[in-house]
Amino acid sequence: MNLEQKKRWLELPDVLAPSPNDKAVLIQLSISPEFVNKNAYIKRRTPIFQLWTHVIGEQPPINNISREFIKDPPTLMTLGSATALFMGVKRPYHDDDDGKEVGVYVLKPTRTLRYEPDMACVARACNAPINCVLCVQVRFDKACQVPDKDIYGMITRLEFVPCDAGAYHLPKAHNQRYTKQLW
Amino acid sequence: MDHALKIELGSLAGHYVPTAVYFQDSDCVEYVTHDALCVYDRVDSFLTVIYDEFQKTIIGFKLKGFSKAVKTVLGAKGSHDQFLQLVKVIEQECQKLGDNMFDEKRSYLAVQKMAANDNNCVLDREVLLPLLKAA
Repeated sequence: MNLEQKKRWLELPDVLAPSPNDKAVLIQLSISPEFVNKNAYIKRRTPIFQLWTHVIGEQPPINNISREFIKDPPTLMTLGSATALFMGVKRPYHDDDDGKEVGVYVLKPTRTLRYEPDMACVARACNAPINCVLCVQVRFDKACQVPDKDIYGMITRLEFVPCDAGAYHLPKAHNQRYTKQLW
Repeated sequence: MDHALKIELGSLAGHYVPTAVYFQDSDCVEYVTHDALCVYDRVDSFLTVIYDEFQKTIIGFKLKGFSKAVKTVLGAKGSHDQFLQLVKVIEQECQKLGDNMFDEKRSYLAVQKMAANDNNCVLDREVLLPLLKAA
């Protein structure tokens, strides 16, 4: 395998996502190269596989991954499947005390991918925790926008978090955790 | 990025070793014991505890919001290089913290204590800020 083939799984494309202002309008987001490269550098692959599967909506381009997509495949989805978008993470985020320009898209995949190598493939499909949602953090501040490329924000990370006891498609304590729910 | 680093990054060979990493884009340091499906449980604006997929065992932590504190310590004359040096110090301290907490000879009580110690995180006020000032 040459270098170009080897690093393809680390070249995550820009993605489309519903706009914070209007769910029906799509905007373009980049994916933090820092998040991808630092995780790859320390050999932590699971978050990168999850980005491919649940944010880009494609199988990660790694050897024999199609094996995992035959029976009980991971949930292929994009941010277009988000059940909610919150704004403001109520914690210091660079110069902003409240992270008010950070958005959180909420997804509810039922199957996911994790790093589990065997002789054929390094990823394995598994159930997503049933009592969790997948939160995808996006920075919408100017530093993360590239107007020339129509990029309106940057996906900085994704995390499974426990869901609300009364609303399984929303994060636990979302009323206290975020500044507001946009849709 | 040089050729060797590109090859290293692209390779799917090799095992994960627990490593504290500062992510500048999301302004947080994360430490997990293994490359697994993680569940993140927020404790407060500074600490998030990381559980395994069954949410029974704590396998790491995420500490958030360093950028502003570091810039405050550095002052107006602080350079980006100094910022990166201080971030390195934070990573090293988080590495020690994680290695000690998750050492198999010890228990997980330390992180659980951090989680229970809501809004009074030991690393935040008693360790981190003096460390930054000293650096």
